[in-house]
Amino acid sequence: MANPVIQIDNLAFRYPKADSVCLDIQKLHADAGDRIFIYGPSGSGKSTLLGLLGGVLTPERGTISLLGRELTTMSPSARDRLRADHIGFVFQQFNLIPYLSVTDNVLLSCRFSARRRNNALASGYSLHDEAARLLDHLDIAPELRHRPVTQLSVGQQQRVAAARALICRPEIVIADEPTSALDAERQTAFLDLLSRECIAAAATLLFVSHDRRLASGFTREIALPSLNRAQAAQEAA
Amino acid sequence: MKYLLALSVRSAWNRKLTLGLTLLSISLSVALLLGVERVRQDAQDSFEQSVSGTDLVVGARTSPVQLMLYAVFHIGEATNNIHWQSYQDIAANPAVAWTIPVSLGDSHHGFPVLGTTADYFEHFHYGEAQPLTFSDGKPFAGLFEAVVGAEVAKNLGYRVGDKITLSHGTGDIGLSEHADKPFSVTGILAPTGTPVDRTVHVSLDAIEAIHLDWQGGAKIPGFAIPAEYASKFDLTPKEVTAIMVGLKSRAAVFKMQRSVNEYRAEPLLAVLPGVALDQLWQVVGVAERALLAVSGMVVVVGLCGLMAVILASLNERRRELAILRSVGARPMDVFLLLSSEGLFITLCGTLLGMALLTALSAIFAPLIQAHYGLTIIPKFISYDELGLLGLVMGVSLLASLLPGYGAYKLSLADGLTPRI
Amino acid sequence: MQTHRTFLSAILMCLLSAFAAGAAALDGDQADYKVGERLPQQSAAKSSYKTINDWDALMPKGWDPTKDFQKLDLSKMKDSDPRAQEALQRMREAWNNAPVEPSMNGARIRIPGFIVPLEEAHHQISEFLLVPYFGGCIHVPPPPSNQIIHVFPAQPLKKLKSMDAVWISGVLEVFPSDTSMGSAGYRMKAEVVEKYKNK
Repeated sequence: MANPVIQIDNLAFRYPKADSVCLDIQKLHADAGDRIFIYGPSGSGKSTLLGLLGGVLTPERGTISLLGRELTTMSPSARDRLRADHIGFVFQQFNLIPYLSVTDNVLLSCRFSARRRNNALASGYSLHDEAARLLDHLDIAPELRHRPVTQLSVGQQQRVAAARALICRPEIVIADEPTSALDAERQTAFLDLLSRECIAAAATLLFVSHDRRLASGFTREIALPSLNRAQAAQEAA
Repeated sequence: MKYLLALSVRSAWNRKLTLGLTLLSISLSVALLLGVERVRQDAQDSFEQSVSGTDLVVGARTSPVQLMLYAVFHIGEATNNIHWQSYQDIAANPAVAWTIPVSLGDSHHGFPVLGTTADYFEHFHYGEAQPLTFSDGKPFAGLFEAVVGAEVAKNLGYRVGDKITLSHGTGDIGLSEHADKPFSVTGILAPTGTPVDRTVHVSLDAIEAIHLDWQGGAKIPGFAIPAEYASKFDLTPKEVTAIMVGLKSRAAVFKMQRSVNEYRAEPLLAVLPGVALDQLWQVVGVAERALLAVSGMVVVVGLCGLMAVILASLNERRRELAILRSVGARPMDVFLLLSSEGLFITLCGTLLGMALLTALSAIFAPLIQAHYGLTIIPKFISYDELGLLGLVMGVSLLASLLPGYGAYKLSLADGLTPRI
Repeated sequence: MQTHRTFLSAILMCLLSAFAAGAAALDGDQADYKVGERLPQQSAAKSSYKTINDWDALMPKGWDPTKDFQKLDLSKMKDSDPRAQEALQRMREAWNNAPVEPSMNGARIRIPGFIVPLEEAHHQISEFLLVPYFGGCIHVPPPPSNQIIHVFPAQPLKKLKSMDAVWISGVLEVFPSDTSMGSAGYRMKAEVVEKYKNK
């Protein structure tokens, strides 16, 4: 089914006071249910792409549309709301707010989005129940849930971050190098967990990493250095 | 919005060690600010309460403020006394309804001794025209009888019938005692909240009697007149320290004042108590305002410290802010989060400071009452202080905007991926 | 961080000025009067009280203490003639003992003057004298009894002190003074006391 969730066309972004464009993408489309592995070594414009998708950066040229909503025509606070309602993020490390408990960290996504709160409540569960369910799936034992997050291992922290990204079923999940801080055995385990949950939630997953070995198991693979024409232009120059 | 406030409270609690010190400094500075203002108001109030219904206070020519201080508040000393003849002339003036002559100079365990007549207990009023009342006993009648104020009785544990000795001079240490002429306590006054409470009252004749065998401030060596023979001598006072005057018509006060000031036989000064007190406040007012300004500056310093601590923490919190942005917080939310933290700490510091001040005033009020005759009323807050507190919170609001703005800019620049 | 620095100085300026403003607000406004100065005449607003600007209205009508003095012909007298000084002295005494104007008894008036507090407790003045000019306590001869009003305000005065200028409004009474002083005086239960504002 062709149900475009992400549509980037003719996108160009330049940082203020920069001489040249740092991101130049002709086309990047993603459908619902896609699980895309984006190979993005450092310097390839990965952070810029995430910033644009998250709506915190505004492109110089081109269109970027999420779930049919064109970001370039939206006000900054409308983009913030879109991000709150429809996107879940997982970062490489330090994903969690140190002064909140595990459960409160998971519920953080729901605090800024009424839509996501209602999503959970519509299925008849309380927010705490939803959080508990997800944490269960992600293998976080109940006794850990009220502990301060600083007492968790890195692997556990990443899984809690995944729970936060997934709670209340956002349509898009963006993971930025989520396994880079984990050791090898945990990396695949985390990947499997994440993919399984995204499939269950019918969410589109964008997984950015510099480690190509993780690319198997995804529906598509994109190499950012080739997608990003600005990079090619720089190399040619 | 509500969640942001809850978030800022939890964030502050997480850093309670570092923020705790700034909180303490704010609470101390607020306690200082309120304390300065409160002591000022209570001291003024105490002074105003000390005399009522008296039209003029007359003494040897000196400054009005000094006259009020020694005649009414028993603070400091008179430079000169008034001759008995002058007192009689004033008392005989047809405009005068009553007079109370008073004589100061002796003390009892640090408390001033006041020599006066029975007119004192009849005509002296304080507060809102309240007369003196006795909690026990009655006014002095015999020669070596004394009436003590409530604080004196409480501090030294006196009851009616106890014997006390007076000391010469107003020092705390009873170096020169009138040990051969003890006084019997005949009455204890009910508490008034004025310097009356810390005064020992005896008759004018008694003051003469205990100084019969004294000359030039010391006992004449080898010469003693026993107490029982004292009444054989002429005990009419030669001098008094001050006179309180009540007039038949209060509007006649200016004429009376002018006639006392122009009295030929002796240089005298007559003051209206209310006017003299206002002069005292004018003199003191400059120092009071300076003190208030300094206390205000201390509060500002405390607030600056708080803002510096929050600003310094911004760098460590960039990841946290990025996480919040990733779940949909707007830059304005980040601004509110950081601003409300400063406000929250100030609010807690202010409340703590007020509690501290209440506790301190409850502890020290009795001591101040005993030593200075001033009544400080311990209370958590009073209506007049709301203005000061509002000012503190207003300044803190302005100051809190700075870390808020810093966080706002930082968050905009960092986006979702801060480069630490 | 450059913007941070300018913003910091701006905030500090705001802090200081806010504080200064607060300090100024706490301090009451004080008018500057000179000793012996009287309050300027002001046009009356409509009210049930008759506004009196000039305290001469409280003087008895047709009474002139300068009569005897004016009978003297100073040009015909030698220097240091005791009669000149005596006449001046007599006039001064007459002035000091001036009687009241009986028709003012019961008049509803509004009159400005300076406060001399008589009774004060809890920072409130519950009884005071009103005099026509500033500083009438030590530096200037006291006003005669028909230029003093003994005032009992209906509400105790707050935030006012010695020699503040006010308007009092109420019913003026003449009350007989002690006969030994030989002169009666004015009294009022003031219904309204307002701070005097220089317009």
